Parts: sequence; structure tokens; C-alpha cells
Amino acid sequence: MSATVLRLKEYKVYYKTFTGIVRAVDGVDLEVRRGEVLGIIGESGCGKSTMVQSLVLPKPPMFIAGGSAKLLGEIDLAKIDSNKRREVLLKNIALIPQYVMDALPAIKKIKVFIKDLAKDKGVEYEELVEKFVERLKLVNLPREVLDMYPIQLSGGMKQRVVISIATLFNPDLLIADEPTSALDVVTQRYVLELLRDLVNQKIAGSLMFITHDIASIRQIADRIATMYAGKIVEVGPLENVVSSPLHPYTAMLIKSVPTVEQSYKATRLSGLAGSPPSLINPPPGCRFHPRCPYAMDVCRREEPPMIEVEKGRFVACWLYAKK
Amino acid sequence: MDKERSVVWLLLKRNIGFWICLGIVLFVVLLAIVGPLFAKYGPQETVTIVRIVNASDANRVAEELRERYGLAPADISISMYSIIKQLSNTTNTTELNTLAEECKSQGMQVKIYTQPIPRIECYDPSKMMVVAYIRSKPPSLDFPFGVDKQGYDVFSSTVYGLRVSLSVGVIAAIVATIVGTVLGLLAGYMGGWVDALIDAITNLLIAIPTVFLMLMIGLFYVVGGSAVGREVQNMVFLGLTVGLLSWQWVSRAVRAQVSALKASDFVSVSMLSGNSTIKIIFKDILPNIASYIFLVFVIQLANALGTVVTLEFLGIKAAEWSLFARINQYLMLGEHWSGNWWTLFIPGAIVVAMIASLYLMVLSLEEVFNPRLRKA
Amino acid sequence: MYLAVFVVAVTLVWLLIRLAPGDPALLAISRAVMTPGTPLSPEQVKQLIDTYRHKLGLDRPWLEQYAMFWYNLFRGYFGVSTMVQEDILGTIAVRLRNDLILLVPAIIVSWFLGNWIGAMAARYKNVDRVLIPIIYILTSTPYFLMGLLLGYALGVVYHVFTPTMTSTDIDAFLASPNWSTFTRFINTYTLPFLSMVLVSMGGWASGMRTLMIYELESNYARYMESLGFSNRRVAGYAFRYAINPQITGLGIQLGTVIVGGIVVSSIFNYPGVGILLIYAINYRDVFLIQAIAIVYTAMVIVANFVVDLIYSLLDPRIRLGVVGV
Ligand SMILES: Nc1ncnc2c1ncn2[C@@H]1O[C@H](COP(=O)(O)OP(=O)(O)O)[C@@H](O)[C@H]1O
Ligand code: SF4
Ligand SMILES: [Mg+2]
Repeated sequence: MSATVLRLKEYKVYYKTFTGIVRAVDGVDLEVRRGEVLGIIGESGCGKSTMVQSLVLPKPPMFIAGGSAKLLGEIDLAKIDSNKRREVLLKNIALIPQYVMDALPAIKKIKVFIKDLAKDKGVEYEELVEKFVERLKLVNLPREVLDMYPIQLSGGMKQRVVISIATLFNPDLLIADEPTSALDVVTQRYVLELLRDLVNQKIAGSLMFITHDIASIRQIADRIATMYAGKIVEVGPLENVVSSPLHPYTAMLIKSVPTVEQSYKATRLSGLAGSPPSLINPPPGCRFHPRCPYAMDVCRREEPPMIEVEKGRFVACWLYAKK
Repeated sequence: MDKERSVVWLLLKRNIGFWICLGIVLFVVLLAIVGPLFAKYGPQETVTIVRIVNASDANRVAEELRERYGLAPADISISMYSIIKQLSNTTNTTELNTLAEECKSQGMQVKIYTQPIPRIECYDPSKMMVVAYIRSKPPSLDFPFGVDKQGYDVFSSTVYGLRVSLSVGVIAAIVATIVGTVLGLLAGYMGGWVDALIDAITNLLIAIPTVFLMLMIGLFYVVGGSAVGREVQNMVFLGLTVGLLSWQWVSRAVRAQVSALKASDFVSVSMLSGNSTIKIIFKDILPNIASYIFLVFVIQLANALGTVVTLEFLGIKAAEWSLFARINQYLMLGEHWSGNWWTLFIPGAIVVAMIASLYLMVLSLEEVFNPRLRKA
Repeated sequence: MYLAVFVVAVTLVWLLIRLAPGDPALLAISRAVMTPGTPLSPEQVKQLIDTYRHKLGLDRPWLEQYAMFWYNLFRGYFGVSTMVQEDILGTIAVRLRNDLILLVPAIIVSWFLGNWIGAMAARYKNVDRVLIPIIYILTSTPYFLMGLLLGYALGVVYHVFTPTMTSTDIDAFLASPNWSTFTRFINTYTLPFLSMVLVSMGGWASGMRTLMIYELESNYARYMESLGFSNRRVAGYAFRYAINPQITGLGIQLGTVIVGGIVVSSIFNYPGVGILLIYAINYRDVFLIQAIAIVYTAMVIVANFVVDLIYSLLDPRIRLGVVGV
């Protein structure tokens, strides 16, 4: 088994709109390793959801504009057709979407949904349902959920049902897109622990955890990647990045967080000065330069390369690159 | 906002279907407005050709007319050229005298009777009158839409009829849109018992088949007697009737929009900053739902047109020459299968094209305004 | 609720007649007066009117008249018609049966076909391009035009079907259903049936198309796709969602469909209420119109009740009493 579950190279995902092309993900290099939790953090609108949605469902107006996304070193998610993609979905790669609250079809019992899933995946219903009940037990839900409609479930329960479904086939890569943002504080913590556990127990090969909330990423991630305006600007081990961020944007994100005692709800990134740039006409050079306190001439002209500052710590900023 | 506007415009420019539909709608409206200027006959006038010719030429002219219009012998009559006039009262005979002078100047022979009722008969033995009755003719250069069984020019009937039916439809749509918008605004903005009351009335109108009410009202008020001479009055009345019985969906839709807006941030801000209700409605809410109300109006117009022509078919008409009023007469006589296709299907096609174009226009506009329906 | 709607609707109909300019009694006998050959003196007319007024109870106070009206309604007495000499209700009942024979299959067939076509249009873009104009032209065609067009094309020009029906066509088939009565019945039944189906099918299809497009864009559809469900299954779920408003629509559209039925049946001389109503309108037979309006209103309200019932059985959100999801 390869150590790398997913490797994105020069990965680009754009939206075709009538006002122009939205370059929501614009040349991302990233690696997810087996057994790790990779946290991705960035302001809302920087392209996090686009990046992961495109792996499972690149549906117009979204389209993959270039690069590659190799799953398990062989399947290029940027190139395969929809039938092939359907085969890897859930079995190798599973998404817990941002919109969990209305993800489950309200008019069908959970049981029926699972039954239809079994049919479409070509597996036995009895087997799948037993597996599902097992997963439910894991997330602390009773078997009775099978006979319920999604509308009878609370937000936290829905989240856990969706997690159960996502792990039915022990995916190599589990992606959770802001799984906690719609939940109350207690449930948030529980879900974070649960997700971590799934990776520890090897039910999920690896986890890509997306959030705009640095506090929750600290509880769960092994490594952390910072995303800004469609680009990854810093990658490194969690502790190092949090204690000594390299990129000015990461530093800003971490500073904007209130102390742990304060409510999680208050951790919106509104404390950041300025707003993210247009993704139709992004600023030239470093995309962060209009907001960056250290911006230099070169930042306005040329895009900083991604360099490895120390082992495993990458940053794209002229402060660290030699020109 | 400006950006959004330019997107909408860009999208609309590309939507060929929309422009075709708009073209059809404008064409039909134009037909109703200026069409009568090109109509050779009045709305109640049959196509009759009268020629006064020298007696020796009469047969030749008759033959010419017969060939020109392909008439049956029975459709042509040749008679002596005469003017006969009879007075209704016995006192004033000056009118007869002027007529007599006129006839004499044309070299006619004049006979005046004073008993029992004053009467004048002018003859011209050298002249004959050839009358051709043109009926049931398919479209041709002379009659672009043909001539119907009773001898009406279908083009003329269509443009005059369209004028009536379209006016009723427009009045109905305006009434329905205004009433629905006002009630929807009130219900959505005021909430509470106002909302409950309006909601109850709305539900009632949705639950009962309002067409029967339209039928009854139309029946009693509009066609209590002959419609002749009361067309404008009838048009307004029928329009009001249809409009006042079809605002229910407008009100419901506007209500939903308004309550959504009321909950939105900028209206709350406006309320908190102490703006008056009237100001909030006119400054903050109405401008935001204006384009929506326009769409609603277009749908109402399409619906109203359908209702109006159906009412005409059933016998509830604003004028004797309403677009489909004559179909009703044929039906009453059981002669609707022996008619000519152009009589029905040319005006029919125009109305259907109009209604369908209105619906399709709304469809494309919705696609443009609503990002969820936009297909890349 | 439904009862309240019925009471209000019937009261409205009753009020309309009272408030109308022109005396119902006068209207009721106007035909008798106009009949040629029996010139009546003004005194005779006056006397006749008074007799009518008394017979109809129009000389009593309004409240009493209103009470009388309801009392009569319960007895099934609908007043005096100049056209239908016998019992109005009985006449309407027979014709109503015939109408149901036309309407019920037409509604069912057009509903299913329309929803299917609309769903197809929403799913396949190429199909959509062709279907949109067809769907919208069908739904824009007034029923009477569709009836006349079909009747003219298939009945008069090409003699595929017979465009006029007699009540014996139906009665014979109902009395002894065999092949020959059946073919005779179908021969005349097809045209009105087809006219009804085509027009209302357009309405259902256009509604379904829009609903389905919305559903296919919704989050659960997106979620199912990202789980690797087949397109067919996703469309199936979307259809299941989209069908709910269409079921409610069934009740709402019923009034329009009934008027369509009246119009179409009058064109093809189908022995339903249609032609009766048109004559009643053109001869101003007030009480007959009132009776028809009341009977049909009752029918629509009952149908709405049934539709609501079905709807609440089908939608777990309502059945479970969950609101606002
Ligand atoms: N359907 C869409 N069409 C056009 N642009 C979109 C669409 N969805 C998202 N975007 C744009 O792509 C960018 C990234 O969005 P998203 O991936 O949702 O960000 P995040 O998940 O980080 O909040 C945003 O600027 C957003 O405006
Ligand atoms: S490259 Fe320049 S502008 Fe960009 S983050 Fe570094 S210092 Fe700031
Ligand atoms: Mg997101």
C-alpha cells in the first residue's frame, strides 16, 4: 500500500460564469498521506469546498482546468470519466459535504436510502445494512435510526449518519468539509473526536479536514495547509505551524483566534483586515499582497514559489525565497 | 448590483427564444392597435361588392366579378338601380326634397309619394346595380385571412376582435397584479390578523372554481341585453371581473417574497433606523420585487387571455365582434363543424402564439434572473 | 375547513343572483315572453312575474330567502329552469356521470403523461430543446380551440373519428359493454378525450419540468451524486420530490379542467353538463346555471379534500407533523 493516498499537482478547478472564469482553485500542490489527518484552513470563499467537491463531483459550471489528482498513485481524478469516478466514490474516496443538514433526502427512510445505495453499488443489502448498523454503533446511534426519516434526526445525528455512510466502504480518503460549523459546541467536540478515531482505527485511510476555524483544526490535524485565494500558501506539521507560522496570512489567521476559553462561535475570521480578492481577476504576484503588512515590490510583480524551509515545512512567500 | 444587471443583459442577449417570443408578442399587440387602420371592413360589416354600371354592361360586370372571386351564381344579384327612402314621421319632408334634387342632378327619374307615409323612389333605367356577396373564401391576396361563412372579412374581424379581447385581458392582468401585490404586501409586511384574513380570502379563492363566478357575473352584468353600444363599458367590466377573481396566486407569491425581504438584514436596518412603514415599503421592498412583479404580470396576462377567450366561446363577450364570439354563435346553431378552417384557426393561432410567447418569455427571464436555473 | 369553503362559495353564487341587476324572475320568464306567437299584454307579464316571484319566494325578506335556499339545497331542489322542465338535479346527475367518464380518465392520463414528459425534458437537454415549445404551446391552447382543431382535422377532414356524440353512444356501452358498442363509444369518445388530455398534459409537463430542474440542483441530489448513486436513481428521488406539488396541483387545477371539460364536451356534443351550461348561459337560465355552479363547486371541494388526504399520506413531513423542514 502506497503511503500517499492523494497527490494534487498543479491542480486547477475553475467555474465558467457569464462574468468570466472564476479561478477558484488555481494550481494546488498537495499530498495526503495514509493514516494522517490533513487540515485545510482558509477564509470562506478561498476555494476549499471547490477543491474537494471537484474530486467527487466536477459538475458544470465547475470544471477541472488542469493538473492531476492521483488517487492511490494510479487513478487520476482529474481525467477519469463519470462512470469510473462512480466506482471509486465511497469505496476509495468519500465526502462529507458542507451542507449536511439537507444532504439526506427527507422523503425516504434511512433504511430505504441504504437499500438503494446497495443496489447502485452492486452489493447485498443485508450485508451493507449490517455494516451500517455497525457504523451507527460506532458513532453512538441506535439501530432504530434505520426506520427514521432524516427530518426526525437532529443536526448532530444527521452529521453522524452521514459519517456512517461515508465510512461504509472504509475509504482510503475521507473528506470532511466544515463538518462542525453547523453544530453546537458539545457536538462539535464529539464529532471531531469521532473523526480522529475513524482514522486511528483505520476505518478511514486518511482524512482531509476542511475548516475556517483554527481551533477545531488544532484538535484534530496532524498537518495543516493554509489556502488563500485558490492557492496553498503554507504546509507543515500542525504544532510547528501553529506555534511559529511562516506565511503572514497564516500568522494573521492564528492571531485572529480568540483564546480557547471564548466561545467557538466567535471564531469567525472577521477579525482579519481587508477581504479576499476577486478570483476572476486575482491580483498579480502574490495574491495576498494587498493585505500583507510585509508586502515588497517583488510581491506585486512575481508569484512566490513554494519552497521547503525546513524538513516538511513549505511556504510560498518572498520573505523566505531568495530572489 | 450593476454587475448582476450586466450579466442578466448578457444572458438575455444570447437567448434567441426570448427575442422571438418578444417579437411575436409585440407583433400581436401591434396588430390589435394599428390593425384596424388596415382593415377594409368594419367589425360588423360583411364583404359585399356593389357596382353601379350601365345596363348594357351589367352581365359582363357580373361575370367578371364571378370569375374574379369564384362566386356561385346565387351569390350575385343584378337589380335595377334605385334609391328608395321612406320617412318615419310625416312632418318633415325637406329631407326628401334634398334627396330628390340630388337624384335629379344624376339624371334619375324621381317619384315622390306623400301617402300613407312620405316616400321617395329614384330610378335610373340606364343603370343596373350588381351586388356580389362574398362568403367562405380561403385566404387570398384580396382577403389575407379569408372570408367567413357569414361574409365577414376574417382579417378585419380578427384585428377588431383582438383589440377587444386583448384589452379585456390587459385590464384583467393589471387589476389582478395590483390587487394581488397590494394584498400580498399587506399580508407579508403587517403579519398578524391582517395576514390571517388575507390568507383566508386567498385560500378561499384558490379552493373554489372561480370561473363559475366569472361566468355568473359576466352573464348578469355584461350581456343582460344586447352588447351593442356598450363595448367599452363591457370591456372594463369583464376585465375587472376576471382580474378581481384571479389575484390569489399573485398575492401568495408576493407575500412570500415580502416576508423573506422583511426578515433580511437591510430591511431590519431600515426599520431600526426609524423609517416609516410607507417609506420602507416604497424604498426598500417594492424596488426589490419590481422585476418579480413584472414577471407575475406577464403570467397574469397570459392566463387572463386564456380565460377571456374561453368566456367568449361560452357566450360571455364584451362586444358582438369579440375574437371568438362568432364561434359561440356557430356552436349555438350546431354549425361549428361546417365552418371554414381559416375562420377559426387564424385567430386561434394568433392567440395561442401570443399566450405561449408570454409564458416562454417568463421562462427565459426566470432562467436569467434566477442563477439556480441558469445552465452553463 | 372544506365545509366552510363550500358554504362561502355557495353563498357567493346565491348573492350574485340576488345582487344582479335584472330580476331573476324576469330573467326566468323572459324566454316565455319572447316566444313568438304568444303576445302577452303588460298586465299578463306582470302577473306572470308575480307568480314566479311568489313561487321562488322572492317576495320574502332576504334572510328568509337565504334560509329557504339552503333548505331547498338539502332537499335537492334547485329552483325553476326554463330549459329543463323536469327535476334539475336529476338531469345534472346523469350528465355529471357522463362528464366523470370523460374527466377522470383524461385527468389521470394527462397527469401521468405530463409528469413523465416534464421529467424527461428536465433530465435530457436535447429532449428539452424540442419539448419546451411543444409543451408550452399545448398548455397555451384554450380547450375549445384544441377541441375544434382536433375535431376539424380528425373528424371532418380525415374521417378518423366522429366529431359528434349522442347520449346513446354512452348509454348503449354502459348498458351492454361489448365490442360493437365499445367501438362505437370509442369512435366518438376519442376526440373529446384527446382534446382534454393534450391541453392539460402540457400544463403538467411544464410544471414538472421546472420542479424537476430545481430538484436536480438541490443538495440531496448533489450528495447522492457524490456518493456514486446512478443518474437514474438520483432522478428517481428528484421525481419523488417534485411529484408532491403536482399532487396538490391536481386539486388546484381541477376547476380549470372542469371548465375545459364543459367546453370540450359542448363542442363534440358530448352528453355532459357542457352544452346544457352553454345553452343556459345564452338563454339566461339563471337557476340552471346556479345549480350547475353549485354542483361543480361541491365536486371540486370534495376532490380537493381527497387530494389533500392522499398528499398527507405520501409526504412524511406532513404525516409526521414536522413543520418547516
Ligand atoms: N457554482 C458556482 N459558480 C460560480 N462561482 C462559484 C460557484 N461556487 C463557488 N464559486 C466561487 O468559487 C470560490 C470558492 O468557493 P468555495 O469553494 O465554496 O469556497 P470555500 O469553500 O473556501 O468557502 C468563491 O469565490 C465562490 O464565489
Ligand atoms: S509574498 Fe510578499 S505579499 Fe505575499 S505574503 Fe509574502 S511578503 Fe506578503
Ligand atoms: Mg466551503
